[in-house]
Amino acid sequence: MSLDFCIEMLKSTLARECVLTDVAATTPYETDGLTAYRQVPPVVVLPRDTKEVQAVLRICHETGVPVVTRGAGTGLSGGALPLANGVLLVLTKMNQILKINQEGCTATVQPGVTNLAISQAVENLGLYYAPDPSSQIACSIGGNVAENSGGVHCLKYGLTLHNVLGLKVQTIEGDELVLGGDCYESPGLDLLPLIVGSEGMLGVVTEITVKLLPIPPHKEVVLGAFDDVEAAGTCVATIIAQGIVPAGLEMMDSLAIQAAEDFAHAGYPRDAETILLCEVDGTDEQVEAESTVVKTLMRELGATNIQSATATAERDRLWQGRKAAFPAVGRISPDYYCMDGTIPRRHLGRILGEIARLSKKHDLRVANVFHAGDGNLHPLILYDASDADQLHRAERLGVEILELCVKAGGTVTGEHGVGVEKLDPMCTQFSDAELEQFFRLKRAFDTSGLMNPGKAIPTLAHCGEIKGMHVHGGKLPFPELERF
Amino acid sequence: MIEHDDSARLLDTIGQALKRGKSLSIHGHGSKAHYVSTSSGERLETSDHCGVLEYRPDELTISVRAGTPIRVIEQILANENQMLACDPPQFDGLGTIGGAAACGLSGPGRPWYGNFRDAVLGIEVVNGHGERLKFGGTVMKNVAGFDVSRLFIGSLGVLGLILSVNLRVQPRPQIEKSIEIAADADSARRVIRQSIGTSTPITATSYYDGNLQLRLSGIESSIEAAQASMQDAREIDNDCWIRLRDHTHPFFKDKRDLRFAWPNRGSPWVYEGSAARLIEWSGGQVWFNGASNLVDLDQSTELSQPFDRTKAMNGGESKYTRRLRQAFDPNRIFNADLNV
Repeated sequence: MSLDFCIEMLKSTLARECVLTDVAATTPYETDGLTAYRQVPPVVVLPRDTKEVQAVLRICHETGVPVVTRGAGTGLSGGALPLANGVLLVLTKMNQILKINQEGCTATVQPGVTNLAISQAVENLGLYYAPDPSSQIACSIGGNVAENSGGVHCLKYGLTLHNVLGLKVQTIEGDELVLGGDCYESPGLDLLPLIVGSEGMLGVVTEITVKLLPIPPHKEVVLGAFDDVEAAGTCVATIIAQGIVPAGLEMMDSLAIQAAEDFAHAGYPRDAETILLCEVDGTDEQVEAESTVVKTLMRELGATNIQSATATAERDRLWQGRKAAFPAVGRISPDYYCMDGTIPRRHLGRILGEIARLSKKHDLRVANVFHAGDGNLHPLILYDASDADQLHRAERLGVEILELCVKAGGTVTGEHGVGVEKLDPMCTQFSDAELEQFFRLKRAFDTSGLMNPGKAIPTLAHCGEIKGMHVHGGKLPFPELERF
Repeated sequence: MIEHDDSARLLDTIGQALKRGKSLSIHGHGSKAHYVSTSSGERLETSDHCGVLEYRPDELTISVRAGTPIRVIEQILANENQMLACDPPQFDGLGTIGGAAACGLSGPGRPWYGNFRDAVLGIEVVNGHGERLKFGGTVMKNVAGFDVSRLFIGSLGVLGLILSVNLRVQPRPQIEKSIEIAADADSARRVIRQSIGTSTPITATSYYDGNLQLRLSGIESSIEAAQASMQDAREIDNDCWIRLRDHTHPFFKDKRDLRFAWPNRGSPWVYEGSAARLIEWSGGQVWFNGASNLVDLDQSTELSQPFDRTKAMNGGESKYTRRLRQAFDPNRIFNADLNV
């Protein structure tokens, strides 16, 4: 059965405004936050409720047409890149907060609700939703679940996974999985962590119950400037070793500081080689005690400038430069390529040195802005996409940075996901047997391989090509099985 | 402590079982035999596969072989003023970290510290094809590939053999104090609710027999401030949480009619039946002792999920659970007699 037939069925099942096929209407969906990859989808569907999601999946299943699920489209790894021959399922119309349980400190929401909207809805109860990816004003909670999104405050409050208690998931075969819920545990195999971060490869999340936390009564942000990257790296490790788990612990290098200052005027010392931003929160006494330790450590490790802020406006000012770092860097280069590797914290100084060396080797500038507390690097490679050679060098440099991360005992993606972007370095991180196990796992949910095919997990054939060799002498295990 | 890499023998035994079409039942110390036990096929003993692979206090991570006793790990962490970032029971003072991972049980600190799954960063397993596989890693943030390491937590060994786990650990709080307040259920509930709004440094609660017990963890000044705000609170021994965790608390003495539930929070407080009741996790877990049938309990308390005794679930497997088992262990080599 063809894509045309699938589209006909979608049109006859859903309301007219929920099925877009006109190129003018579908073109805005050609890319997500990773704009280097584009594909105009032949059809975009915008279901309004779970029943309509189920109907779309049923039609795709019956007609054998693949489906890519998309939230707000802010993802940075191309996970929601449409397929030329598939349906793009967009969940932005499902944007209702369904239930707030004040005593239990939970909220049950639809996937299209934005991350920030959850916190705004419960602010009057003194509660908030902790994970805060930089795109929180626009990104949807459904997308956060699909990517297991992080943010500045993961170090203390965990990733999306640690803050999601329940999910309703629709499978391509028409089953609804109810995982977890409004309570702490549930019986049976724990499928929830499998769905979180599965990049739309296993099912479609239609309802999410998140954990809410009390807004900390006190917060303090401390900025420390260093003229030596190694010293800042040591400072990060020492703060943690002292038994302090800051709410956020961020680092920016000199290029990023300059760009951020020009753009956001946060008052960062422009002559610093690197700055650390450390936020501590909790009771008055706790904040006082912890910020004193942080400031002392910074001083002992040679910080050239220390600023701190407790009042909301002042704290916001210090954060402003960090939060605006990506667009700020966007102003000093026609394009940038954002990496997302994670390394054990103790290697921070060394890896930054290596990145500087690679930057020289490929003759491209790299600005470093990252979640130092959890070792999650975001090197921004500056290049000009209109120059094919620069694009090629940027991609090469990116791959080499990720290989460094894996070698240092880290991972190719800390919070942005694999999508289409990091299929190559996945071949470095996982063995053939491990990748094959991922595919077996996918088939348990999606026998016919229709859910977001081609993303997140590279095929062994793909890895074989990367490594410039034939896979097992050209023979794949289980050659009869479809690869997606 | 004893360090021993027994993986060659374990892999060989699994390979032999595969060849002969035999099944294996995985055994650690057996400390949770009352919760789950398996007897199909040859016994695969894991406790000789033990020792710390890597402990990095500055990274807040530890990697340990599955057969390592939890109390040994606790001691190693305590030497660096750190602790596990979860609170698994060690019934009878025994219990391996592999068993804790496979069962995924949590003690009284669960709502504050998280469960075992939350603390896992990576895992090494042997699947039913006899392949040695690693998932996750040793870093906090890692979204490469499906989260297989956390899928294994609480899977009761039916997906494969856990060889080692990488765990997040955390600094020990500067001070830990426990207090007790005499209270009826309504007031106990109110105290807990108020404490949520004021960031009181609570890390465990229990309510039993007219007494609310709270564990306070943090810096001295925070705890003093919290204590000052609680009227009529008297200080008690911190060991009460270990007794609760490992079921040596008097409530658990007679286990004949023991049942527990994870209710939608709020509901356990209004129970008016005759069974003895112990409420943990700020109302997130409730134990009953002496209730003769589950239906009565369900109706009187609006419990969302009342469970029979302390057993692991042994009901029908869902389609996807069955398929996942197939995906990892197609020949049902591991713990074939268990349903999850």
